Amino acid sequence: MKEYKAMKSLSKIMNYVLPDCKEVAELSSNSLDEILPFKKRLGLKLHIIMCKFCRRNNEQLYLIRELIRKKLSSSENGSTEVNRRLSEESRQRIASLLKSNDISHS
Amino acid sequence: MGSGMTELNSKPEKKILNAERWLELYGDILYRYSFRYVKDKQSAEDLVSETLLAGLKAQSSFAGQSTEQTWLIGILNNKIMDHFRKSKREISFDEADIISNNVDEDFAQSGPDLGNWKPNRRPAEWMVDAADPVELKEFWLYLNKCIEGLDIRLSMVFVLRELEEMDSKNICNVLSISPTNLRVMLYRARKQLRFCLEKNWIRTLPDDKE
Repeated sequence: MKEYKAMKSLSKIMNYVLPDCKEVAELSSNSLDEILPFKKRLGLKLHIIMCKFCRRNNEQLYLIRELIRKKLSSSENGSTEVNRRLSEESRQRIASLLKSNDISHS
Repeated sequence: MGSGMTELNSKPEKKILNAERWLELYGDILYRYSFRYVKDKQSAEDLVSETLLAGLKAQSSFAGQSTEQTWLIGILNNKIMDHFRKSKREISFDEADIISNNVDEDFAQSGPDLGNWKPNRRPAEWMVDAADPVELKEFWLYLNKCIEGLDIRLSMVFVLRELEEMDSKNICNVLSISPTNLRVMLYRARKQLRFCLEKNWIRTLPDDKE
């Protein structure tokens, strides 16, 4: 219990130094798109060690990306939404439309 | 269309070749992207042809700061938004609206908990087996439903970033937004999607109280 109390007060102190949950949520998202500056990266990491909600949020954002990548790479074998293609007829229709709008024939 | 006279020096044969090449190279991605928004084959196909025609006309404005693909997707995006403007109820098209609405409903706005998760918004523990193909299929289903629930601008940034794997710089070009606004929009999109997935798809573990 003593350790628990110590942890509590430690985390109170850290809260002054570290970004709050709102900022951390933004950093989690940003970290998916760019390499964060050192200070922000550190703030994110330390906060996440201590705060399970932000840790989950961070993990889940990365999981969502991972699942999307998995889905996209697995879908050569089917799955229309990912693999939706112009049909041959559509292609031809569009191609002839392009030709009929062709300014070179004027 | 009758702009032939002014185009004497611009090698029209080459222009039309370009459009055919675009159709060949980018037809599928333009179509897939259109379909996500208009949800029927004919309208999606129409948007693709409109985009390529607009591209033909605007070819000289293609300055090459972006790839041809991003340039065309940029044109397509505008067409999609026009389509929605004509057909749909109110949607916020202006990212300024999205950005300036900076009330973040997930976090306490005041009091001792300022900046902390509101209790009903705290992320729950997810029980997901990423290796299970059935779960992956389910995920995909719900993800797409949740994307549909997003504001269209937010949905576009998310789809371009995560599903088309476009980098931030190109997305800024395509949607004509600043890097800062893109950051905010991606953050909002991801946050809403995470929450939507948690509420609709995920089996969560009850939280031991904090």
